[in-house]
Amino acid sequence: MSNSWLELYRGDGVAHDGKIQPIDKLKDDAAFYRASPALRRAVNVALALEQPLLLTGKPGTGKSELARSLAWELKLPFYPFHAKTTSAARDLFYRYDALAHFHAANFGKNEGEEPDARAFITAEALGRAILRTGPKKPSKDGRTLIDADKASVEAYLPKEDRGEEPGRSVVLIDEIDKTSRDFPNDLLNEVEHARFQIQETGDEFIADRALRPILIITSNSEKSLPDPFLRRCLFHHISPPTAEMLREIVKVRLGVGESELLDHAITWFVANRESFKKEPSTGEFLHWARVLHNLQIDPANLKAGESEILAVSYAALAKNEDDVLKLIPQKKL
Amino acid sequence: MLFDGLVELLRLHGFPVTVEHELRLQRVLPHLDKGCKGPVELCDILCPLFATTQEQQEAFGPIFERWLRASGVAAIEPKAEAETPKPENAAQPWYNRRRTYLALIPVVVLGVALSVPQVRVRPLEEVPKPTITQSIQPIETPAGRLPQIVTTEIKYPPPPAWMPWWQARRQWIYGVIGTVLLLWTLFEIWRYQRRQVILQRSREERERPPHRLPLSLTPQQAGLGQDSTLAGAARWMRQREVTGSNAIDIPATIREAIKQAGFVPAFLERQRTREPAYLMLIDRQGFRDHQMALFDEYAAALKRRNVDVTVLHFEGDPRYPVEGSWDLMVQRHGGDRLLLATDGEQLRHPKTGLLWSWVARDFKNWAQRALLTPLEPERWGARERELGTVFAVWSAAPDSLLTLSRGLSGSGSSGWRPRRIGLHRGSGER
Repeated sequence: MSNSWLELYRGDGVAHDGKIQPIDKLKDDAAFYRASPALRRAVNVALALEQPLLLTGKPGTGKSELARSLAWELKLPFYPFHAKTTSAARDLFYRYDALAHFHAANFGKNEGEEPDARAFITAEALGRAILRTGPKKPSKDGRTLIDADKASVEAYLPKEDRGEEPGRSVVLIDEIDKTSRDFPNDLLNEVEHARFQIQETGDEFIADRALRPILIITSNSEKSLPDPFLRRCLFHHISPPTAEMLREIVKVRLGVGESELLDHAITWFVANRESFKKEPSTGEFLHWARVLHNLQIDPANLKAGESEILAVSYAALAKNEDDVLKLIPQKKL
Repeated sequence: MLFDGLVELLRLHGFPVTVEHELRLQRVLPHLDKGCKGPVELCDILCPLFATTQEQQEAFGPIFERWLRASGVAAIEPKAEAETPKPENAAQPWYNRRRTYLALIPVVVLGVALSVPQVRVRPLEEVPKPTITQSIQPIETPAGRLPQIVTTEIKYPPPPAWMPWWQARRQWIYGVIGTVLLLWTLFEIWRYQRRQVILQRSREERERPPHRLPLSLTPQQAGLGQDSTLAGAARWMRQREVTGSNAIDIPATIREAIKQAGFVPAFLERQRTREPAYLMLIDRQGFRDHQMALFDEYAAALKRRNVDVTVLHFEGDPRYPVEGSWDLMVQRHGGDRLLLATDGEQLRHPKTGLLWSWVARDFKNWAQRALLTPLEPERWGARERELGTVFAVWSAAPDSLLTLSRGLSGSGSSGWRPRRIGLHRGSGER
């Protein structure tokens, strides 16, 4: 527990052989995720009803991590899809490399032979999960569902998924509110029936009813989602953790036992987090707790010379000028 | 059947309960006995079935509790407590117990019993009387001697043999009983005051007050739901808008390549489009503000017609929205089309009548901005003319919305540009 890492970069322009050694590593595996009882119940209801679970909450409350944790606990493959402002509904199912296809058609090895379009299509998160279920496809008359040809299914799957037994998987659609309103609107049928069509080849796949993918959707509530989409989801808002929950999280993620200084830090944080202009997330608090734990600084019982280091540690919590000035008033001078 | 009441209550509180929700409930109910330990858990399980926003999730708990009480299921409440057992000695504070009140009854009875025989049963002559002696000493003055009472001595005789001890010491006993009752009264007054403070705090924290009556009135609708003009406006408002980015248009490129006999000179591009989003900033003078209610209903009617409208309120100054902050609003809705629903009185200087400097500066964040005023065009004047330098001013009527939204498509966005407004012309146009 030394603070030598605070002296690594000296800022004096003199080169030296410093070695970067991160302080006690935060355990960020899915096994160290802890869910509140209410969240646990919401997940179980979603699993029982086989419906997507829409999670909202402030950034850093563990929305995305929940999906990873769920896949870990149920020993299922995990396929995340990180939404972008330009994401279209098709991107969630497959990616089509039109340029490569065009190039192959014009300058391919076998002249005069039309290349197989499936070679230029790669299944993405939800498409991959549906294909992994051993999917069905509509019969020619469209009245019944028949098993899809295994070879045609595997043609779309990435190499690592080929030859695997059919099974469920967990799909995360992260930050759906970043996308345009078209994205959720175009997903209504696909989400409800776990089906999609590849326009370039005309193939349509419908997930096996017994192995439908588990869909976790997160949103930062920056935009409202259309009502028809909300109707198809279960909803849970993750509140910031209580002091008790935070103790449990700190204990697990930092791998420390009972600690008076961390107790004090948690008590202070829970009492003051709402007074921040930008409320620090649980993740930010964990970084602050790491620093305090490493330096053995108890914010409630500061020793001589520790107040300066404590002020430095606030960099983990305060992310704008107002909050910095609130925590370290002397900075005004 | 038991849960019908809950569903009805949720509907009354604005939850959009559809057949889908009821089906979910029916699917979950048969499995509740397999792990549901109490009302808290039941609430957590049912909440995701009905709530679709954070506000609804927060409202669900109190609604559920109300339904639980009303339906007489409160008997299962101890099970919920069993999940987190309380320490035995923390059951109830001593002053809340009925036993304390019951213990006071003998004290009062004793006091009455002591006083009644003393007054009524014993003859007056048998009660020993104290002897009072006064010594008078003269005072020497130049005028002569003046008599003056110097001391008064009261001697209590010893209690007679027939008098029991509790009557002999009745002053003390009265004193003790009186003190107990006085202290108790003071304590009750203090407790009452404290309870008032707690209630006041709970009201301030927007907790559910315990005296709230379960009354609900169906608000009178302004009849916008079936308005065909508004439906037309909503259709225009949903018209997709062009974004600033392009994408390769593969079908067009292939068509062009076919025309050119397989030769592709360049990839063709198309402009990306998106569904427009609207930010409706509504001026709120109070919770019973009819103007606000009208605008809220406009927003709700547009939402029902799948227009992407976000509603925020402000009280006088739009830079301080009730929900969130200006920075957050700009960050989240900066690219939206702005509909400012206000009469605009607070946006201008009360003396000069000119717009505050921040109005033009801050609202530049929205390229397309319109002000919806509750005033009909016939009553427009200098204020609206001044507002027209920054906003496209329209009256808050379905007809105006239709005209405004038509201006968005086809002929560009002329409806959103600031307009020069003539004085007292009645039409709102120069």
